[in-house]
Amino acid sequence: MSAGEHPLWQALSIYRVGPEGAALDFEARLARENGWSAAYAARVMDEYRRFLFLTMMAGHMAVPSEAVDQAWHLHLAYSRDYWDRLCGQVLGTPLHHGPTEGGPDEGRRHFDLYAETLASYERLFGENPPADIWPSGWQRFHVDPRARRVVLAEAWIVPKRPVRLGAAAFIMIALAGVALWWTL
Amino acid sequence: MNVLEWSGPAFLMAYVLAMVASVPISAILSRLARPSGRSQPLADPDSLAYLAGKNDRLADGVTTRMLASGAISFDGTAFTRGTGEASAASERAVLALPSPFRWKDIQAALKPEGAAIERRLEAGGLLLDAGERRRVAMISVAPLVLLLIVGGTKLLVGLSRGKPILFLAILLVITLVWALGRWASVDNQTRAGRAALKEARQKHDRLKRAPTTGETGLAVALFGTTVLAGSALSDFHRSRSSDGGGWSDGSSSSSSDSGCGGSSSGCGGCGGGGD
Repeated sequence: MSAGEHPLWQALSIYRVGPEGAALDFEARLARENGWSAAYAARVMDEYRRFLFLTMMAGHMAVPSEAVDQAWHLHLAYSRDYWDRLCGQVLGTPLHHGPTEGGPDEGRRHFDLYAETLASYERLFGENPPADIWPSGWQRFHVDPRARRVVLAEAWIVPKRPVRLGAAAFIMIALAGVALWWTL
Repeated sequence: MNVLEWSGPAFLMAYVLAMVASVPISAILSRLARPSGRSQPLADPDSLAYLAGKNDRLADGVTTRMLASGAISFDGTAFTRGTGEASAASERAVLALPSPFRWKDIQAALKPEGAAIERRLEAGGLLLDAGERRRVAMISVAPLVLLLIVGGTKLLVGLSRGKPILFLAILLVITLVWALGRWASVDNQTRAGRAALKEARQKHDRLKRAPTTGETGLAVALFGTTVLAGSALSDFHRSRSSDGGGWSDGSSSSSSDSGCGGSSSGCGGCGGGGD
């Protein structure tokens, strides 16, 4: 039986978090708190539903990507919805969230479990997880966790890559100008 | 319209534009000159590794597979015999080495296997032989050689007339280095070989992100040791990156304890499982 035909997936695929008709619904809050577009937040929610399916059906502990983990964290904050509706009515069992205990061994264990999670995703859903939501293990455990909460009223966010490219282009043009001026 | 009679600035401007134009022209000529070979799927990890990166990649793939299976272990500098068994001729060649052994010993032990794979791939139409590769390389660098001839002639004209030639000389040196680099970088895959590698990489795209333990050998064969960054075999990746043998995504200089991944900051990963 493929994931699409499984009763659990059929229930999860239509699952919506939180009260209907709220002025700020779950997906809008997820987008706002992470600085995501509404479309991206909706895609993350789709992947969160798939992750929930994997936690029940993969046969091993499932480890989410950072984006999916953000959806999970927020869902845990909606505790009635999480424990009563999701775990009680849909999953039929508690689903606990367990952060790493830290240290190199835990890091390697989580890397391996993340790899197994991606493999199980491919096996159960018949396609590769989208790379912009399920990135490489390196990105997942060494880059994405460097995210921090920033008060936008007090700080600017300047992306490094365009600044570096702009600085490199400026230096190249300046050197070329100096060389041309010196030669001619 | 004799370009040798152009003024210095006009010639320099045209030369730079011609250098820029030679990038796509060289790529197109290389593509047209490359023999098509014989299309076929390829699944053997050792053949894929050799096709992707010759002897170095073959050694990377075999070593990774053996580390993952426990056939050998690595302490950061030397390899020792483990408890696992060899499952391929390439692995038996490594296990025949007296323990402990180093990376260069593995490379030397796998050279005969690499030569055998190269002959198989050439006979199968997936790799060019030496003559075919030389012909493709000559055609690829032809636009740059033409630039060097025209630029060199203009340099001699400028010298004979007592004109400043420093900037043109710099451009000629850049062109020469570029031509030599282009010559050396022309690979020996046929079009069918490129297609087979591309197909295998697309089929196993997930392995580029995070391979499971049993998939690490194939992942390294296709994508290099960068796929091991952050994994249990990251020590091997770091050693290969530091000696310049592996292609790097910039992650190689960071240890697995840096940042937050798996460290005491506790933000590395969250696991969930039904109970």
